[in-house]
Amino acid sequence: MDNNPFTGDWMAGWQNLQRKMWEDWSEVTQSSWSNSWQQDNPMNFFKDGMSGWQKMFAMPQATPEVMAMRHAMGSMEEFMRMGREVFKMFQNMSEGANLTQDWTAQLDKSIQQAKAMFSQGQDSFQGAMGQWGKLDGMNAMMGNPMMNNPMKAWSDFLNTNPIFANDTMRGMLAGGQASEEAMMRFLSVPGVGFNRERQEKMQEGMRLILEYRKTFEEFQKLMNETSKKALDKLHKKLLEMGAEGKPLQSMRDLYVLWVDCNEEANAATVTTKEYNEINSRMMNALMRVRRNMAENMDSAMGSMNLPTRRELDSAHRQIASLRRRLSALEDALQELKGKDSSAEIHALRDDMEKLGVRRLRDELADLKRQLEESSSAPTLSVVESVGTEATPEKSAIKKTVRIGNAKPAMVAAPANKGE
Amino acid sequence: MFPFAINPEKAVEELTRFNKKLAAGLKTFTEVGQIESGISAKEAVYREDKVTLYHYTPKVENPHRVPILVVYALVNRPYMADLQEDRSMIKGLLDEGMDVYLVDWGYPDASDRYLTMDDYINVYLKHCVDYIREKHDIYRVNLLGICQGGTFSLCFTALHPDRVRNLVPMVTPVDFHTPDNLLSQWVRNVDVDLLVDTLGNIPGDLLNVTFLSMNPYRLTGQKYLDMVDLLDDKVKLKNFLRMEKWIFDSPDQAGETFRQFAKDFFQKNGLIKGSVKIGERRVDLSNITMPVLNVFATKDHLVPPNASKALKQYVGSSDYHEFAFNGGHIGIYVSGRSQAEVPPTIANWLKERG
Repeated sequence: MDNNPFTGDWMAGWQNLQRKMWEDWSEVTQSSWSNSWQQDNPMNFFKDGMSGWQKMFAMPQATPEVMAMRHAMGSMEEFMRMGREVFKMFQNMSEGANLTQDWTAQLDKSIQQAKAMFSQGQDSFQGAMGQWGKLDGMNAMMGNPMMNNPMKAWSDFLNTNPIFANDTMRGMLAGGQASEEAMMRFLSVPGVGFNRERQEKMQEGMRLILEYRKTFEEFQKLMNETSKKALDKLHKKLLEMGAEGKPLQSMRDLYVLWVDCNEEANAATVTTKEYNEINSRMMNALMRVRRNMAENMDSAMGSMNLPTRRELDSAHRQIASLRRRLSALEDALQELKGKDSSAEIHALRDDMEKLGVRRLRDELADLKRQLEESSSAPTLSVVESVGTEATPEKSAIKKTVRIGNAKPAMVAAPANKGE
Repeated sequence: MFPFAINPEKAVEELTRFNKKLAAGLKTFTEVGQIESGISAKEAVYREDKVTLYHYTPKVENPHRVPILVVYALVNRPYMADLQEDRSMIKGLLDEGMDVYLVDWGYPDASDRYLTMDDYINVYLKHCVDYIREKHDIYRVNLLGICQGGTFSLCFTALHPDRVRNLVPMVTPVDFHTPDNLLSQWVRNVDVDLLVDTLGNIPGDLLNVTFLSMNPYRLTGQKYLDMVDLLDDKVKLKNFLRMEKWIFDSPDQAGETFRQFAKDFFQKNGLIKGSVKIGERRVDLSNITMPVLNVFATKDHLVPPNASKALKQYVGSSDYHEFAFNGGHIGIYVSGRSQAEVPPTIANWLKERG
């Protein structure tokens, strides 16, 4: 097969792929996707197909298999999205002039465009949350969250974990420039009158949210720089492959190469002092927001005579203290019952076991029995000698058995298997 | 030369094949059934609050007379050590004729927020050890601590050396400030007091995100694309899902214990400085005079080998040995090679020491 990317029709190929995907998923899901919108957007199967699949097989929400399948669908969606962009890129390139010679310039152009996406409007909170997935062309391949970068993992975590975020907080954080200006105006108003303290608390809360937003944007900026470095690495590796005459053989190879580049860039970033400092500041700022919100919530709950976090904490602290006292009393009681006074006996028994006293007793009994059995034979006598070393395994105990006038025979004792 | 040898037909064929596999895999997912873990027969023999001490059924008539108590970390669940039939350190130890116990810390909830390291080490762990001593009529037990559980074991042994006959820390952080310790670097500037005062218990999800952030692209993207290749093999898929279950089965951390562990160990590196106090007593590693087998993994990205190997400088034992497993933090328990190497090495070392 001719593997030249520029000998076929990429757009026709993409359409062909969409049709095949449509057929496959329709077959699996028993034609439950029979509308033209799905047919035109087969990648939606990976999102929507998940819920259909769960319903069809009555799968629960959070089992390992459902979670893993959800991740697989997500990864597949991004893999396909990458495929779409590669198709598009090759189509564009094959429509250009003198491909075989200009490919380095084309590649350089694509990489630069992708890097530019990380420099434009991406340092804001809205940019971070909203711009992923809106990119196009080669840029989308490089810049979308197909690899679920740390930023996305982090934002997913914030968005799904009620401990860290709720609707109010998300709304305030995603308010945009206008809301930030409104907040600044509000913050500049001095607290007066009957509600002065409440107003100050609200102002403090907003100040903390702005602080968190600022640190989040710093973090985003750092990760954007990391993404640019990953693009540089990809660029360099592709050029090397071209120079060495070792081209990528599959879409999967491209995916793996891209993952490797991102991991390398990420590893270099997360080990820096700058990352540690920004990441910690962001975490600390988030905690201050969260604590402020909890305190306000506590005040509201208290005013309605409902249990507050403060009260629960106090109760839990007392429970822990009572547990400790109870445990200490039980230990003391055990000691009084004499359990621990037998410690020395335990230790001695332990040492005796180690010395193999039980085995010596067995051997002695054995010898006595032999003696008794041989007592009727007038020419037999038994003499025994025991080694003096403490560890029986190291110095096998030797028995000297004398029969009549014969020379003594040395017999090794059996190894002690119980130790 | 253009660095892509992919034409449209080839690309379509590849993506279609991959898509077909994923689609067909949906059915396999419904057929794998219950994801069991923890395969060795065991019995709960002691309970205190949420802590359970398990005794595994010995595989031989006369097991080694000094039982091993496995002390797992508070992070994740202990069935990692007994994951499946052909991936189980516990089974390996039982096959070697050892008598094995395991302490399961359970899932702390809000009422456990004020549990301290003192509670975990001087109360729960001590009571588990005392139960075994009494049951077997012995004075000292063998301790095998895993990761953070290894650090707990070191603290326990230093505080109660008369109760430990031999000590086996596995992938255990001792020096928390080695340059390659990424987790330690990340937590160094975090306001731990603020974190605990705000959250109470530390959510397992937060720890998961932290661990995933070490290799985010592979662990949250590529891994699942690779999984598609397993979808036509039920056994392999089930094994993959079992590991997934373990990875995300993350108990919350009792707030006060996390506070001390993060501050005294991660931030201040107090274990090797001798500044850690558990309850009223200082942890002095030189009190560890019994035989020690320090087991670590050469490719461990969570607890770098040097973080574990530092132990040699600080223990008082003259019978100190190391076993370096060529693998990672998880591979030391679940890789095929580890089954053949790790349990026999530990069991033989213990048997030699009575």
